[in-house]
Parts: sequence; C-alpha cells; structure tokens
Amino acid sequence: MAAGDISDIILATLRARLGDRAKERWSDADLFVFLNEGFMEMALHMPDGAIPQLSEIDSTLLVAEQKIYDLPADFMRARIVKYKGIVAKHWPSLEKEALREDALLVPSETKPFWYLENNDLYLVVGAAGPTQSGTQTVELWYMRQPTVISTTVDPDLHASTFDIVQTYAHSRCMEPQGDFGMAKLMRAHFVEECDLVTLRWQTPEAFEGIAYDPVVMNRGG
Amino acid sequence: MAAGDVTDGLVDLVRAHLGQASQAGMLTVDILKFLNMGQAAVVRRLNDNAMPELCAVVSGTLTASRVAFPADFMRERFVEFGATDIWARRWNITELDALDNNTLTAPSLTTPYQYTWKNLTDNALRLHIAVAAPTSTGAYKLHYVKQPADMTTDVDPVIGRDKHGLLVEFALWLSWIQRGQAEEGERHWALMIDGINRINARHSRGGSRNESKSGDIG
Repeated sequence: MAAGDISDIILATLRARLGDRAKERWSDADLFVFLNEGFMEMALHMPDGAIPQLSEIDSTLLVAEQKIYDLPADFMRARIVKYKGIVAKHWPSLEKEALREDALLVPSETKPFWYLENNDLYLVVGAAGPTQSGTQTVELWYMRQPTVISTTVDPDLHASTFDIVQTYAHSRCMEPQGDFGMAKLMRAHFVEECDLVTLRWQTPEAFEGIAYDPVVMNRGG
Repeated sequence: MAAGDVTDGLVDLVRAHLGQASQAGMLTVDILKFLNMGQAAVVRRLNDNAMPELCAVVSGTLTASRVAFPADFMRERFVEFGATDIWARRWNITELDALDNNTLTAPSLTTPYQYTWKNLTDNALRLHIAVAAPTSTGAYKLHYVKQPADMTTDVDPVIGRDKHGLLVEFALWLSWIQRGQAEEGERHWALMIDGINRINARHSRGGSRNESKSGDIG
C-alpha cells in the first residue's frame, strides 16, 4: 500500500457511515479535520499503555553547562528522562528550591533531577550544570502527538482504533448539519469506547477459568 | 463451502434484517465495512477468555533484549522468557529506575521484566525484556490478542460463529443510522452490548455454575 492509502480507507469508511459518497455535504478537507481532531482527542483520552505507537524518545547531545533544552515539537506528555543513561528523578518546579537547599537531595551527575517549565526541559545535576565528555546525551521519553493524517500520510495509531475515531468524526459532522441529537449520541459512543479501553488497562488480571453460567440480565426479554 | 461464503452469508443476513435485498437500497461494500468495524469493536470489548480463536502466541529469540511485534498484534496478554518459559513481569516506564537501582527488583535471567516503548536504534516500537547486562538474545514467547483480518467476499471472519450475531447487530447499528433511523440503530447497538455482556459474564471472575437439575423460576 502507498502512503496515505490507509487514510483514504478511513475517509471512505466514514463517508459510508455518513452516506455521503458523492461529497455533497462534507468535503475531504472537512472530514480529515474531524478525523485528526478525533485522533488527538483519543490520544488525550486513552491510557498510554493502550497507544504505545505514540511512544517516543528525543535524544539530545548534552552541551556543557547548558541546563535548559527545548521540548520536541510533537511533545504531548512526558514519561521519564535519562541523563547519560541514568533515569533522572522528576521534581515539581514549584519545589525546586529544595534541590538547592535540602541536604538530602543534592543533585549531581549521578543523581540527576528534571522538571518542565516554559515549554523546556530543565536539568538539575549540580550547580555548574551538565558536563560533556564527548557524545553523552539526555533522553526524554515521552508520548508524542498523533500524526496528522491526509491523503498522503497514514495514521500511526493502531487499526483497532480507527472505528473509534470515525465515530468521533461522525459526531463532528452532525454539528454543522444542525443534527445535535446525533452529534451528542455519537460523541457518547466515542467516549464509551475510549472509557472501555481505559477500563481494560485498569484491570491487570484477565480471567482464564472455565466459562460460568450466564447471568439473567433482563427477565422481561 | 468456499472461502468467503460465511462473509457473504453475514452480508445477506444484514440485508434481510434491513429489508434491503438489493444493492439499490444498501451497498454491499458498506455492509462489509460495517461488519469489519464490528469485528474490531467486538474484539475490543470481549474478554480474552471468550475468544480463544484470537488469542495467539509468537515465539523467537531476542535481539539485544528486544523484539518487534507481530504484524497482527492488537494487545499484549503476557510474555515468557528463556528455555523454561519464565513469566516476565510487566513494568511501568515511569519506574524503570527501580530496575537499575533497587536490589529487590533487579532483573536477571530468572526474574525478567518487560515493557513496551520505542527503540531509538531500531526507530520503531519494540517489546523490551530486561534481564540485566549484558543484553539478551534469549528465547521469548509473546502471548497476545490478534487484530482480526478484514472480511471480504473471499475471506471469512476469524471470529467464531458464536459471535457472528454481534457483528450483524453492529452492522445494523450503522446501517440504520446511515438510513436516518437513529432510534432503530441504537436498539441494535443495545442488542450488541447486551450480547457482549452476556458472553463476558461467563468469562469474568465471580460467576457461578449450577449443574444440578433445574427448578422453578424464583
């Protein structure tokens, strides 16, 4: 498949759901906007474990005495920072004074700390800042924003999520049509699917016993 | 039966429920799309124990303590390591420092840990199995839930026949909505959810089994 073919299939499937194959009501541009909004909304809603395709590592060459590093352009949320291969401790910037004053903390090259502020990564590894002896790096392990899809760019999230994103876009499509009831309904379906995936990731143990008898759910039929 | 006949039967069943025998009223390609979306939704909702046909295992050897996921990977179930299939404990990314520094969670060949994250060298998502330095080329087994292949007029559903009714209800949900009958569509959605809940109720902790003779309705 060529780049963008998967996106085209997602778009065509959404058109099938909407019954608008002839593009009479929604342009491709409109639908891609809604679909991309859906991917972002889903990435914000779901637990990281369910969307590992968005895991990313930004490796930056350390500069001697430079304590502040740019966050990557596609940054969404941080997980860990590795300073010269050592997992650094995250520290709230509101309490950074403790890194200077607290006799038990004492940041150093082997006890590095980090925090985010002003859209930058701050490293605290001692008063003089980082050292560099060649090719040492700081790694930011983070969740990136989902790729913006188009007719030439495919999504990076798993195929099992595509119908959820289409449900989101379906909801958005109903708004300009004035069909707010359907917009509300489809949005509720979207949230339900995201919640369901979240629930699965909050349940660490799966059942592997012999099947039980069914539970009577509705005696009236 | 030829390959694809089961799929064709499901499409026709959706048509029968819709009262649209002809493509003039409902395109086959649309129904197929809806059935495939239903397959994804059902696999997402059903408990693993209820769909053994989608619980797969892949084995091989690690490269530098990591390995790529199979193409049909949907979600992980568990990971085993080494010749004796030692269960690898899943570990949080945010607590990776503990694998380096905590003596109680030190990885080894007999106490392996696993996590999923992108690898810079491979520039791709990888399953990592931590067994301490040096990196491992040991054997592994990844137990996972498969992403079901799409049905076509030549490809039958992977999911078992006992769950085909769920796919039909899902397809009817979207079909009725496409036809402007949201209330009827939602009725079919509720039927699908009800069916899934009944199946999951059999495959969840805390259920019951009664194999004595039947009594009166209480």
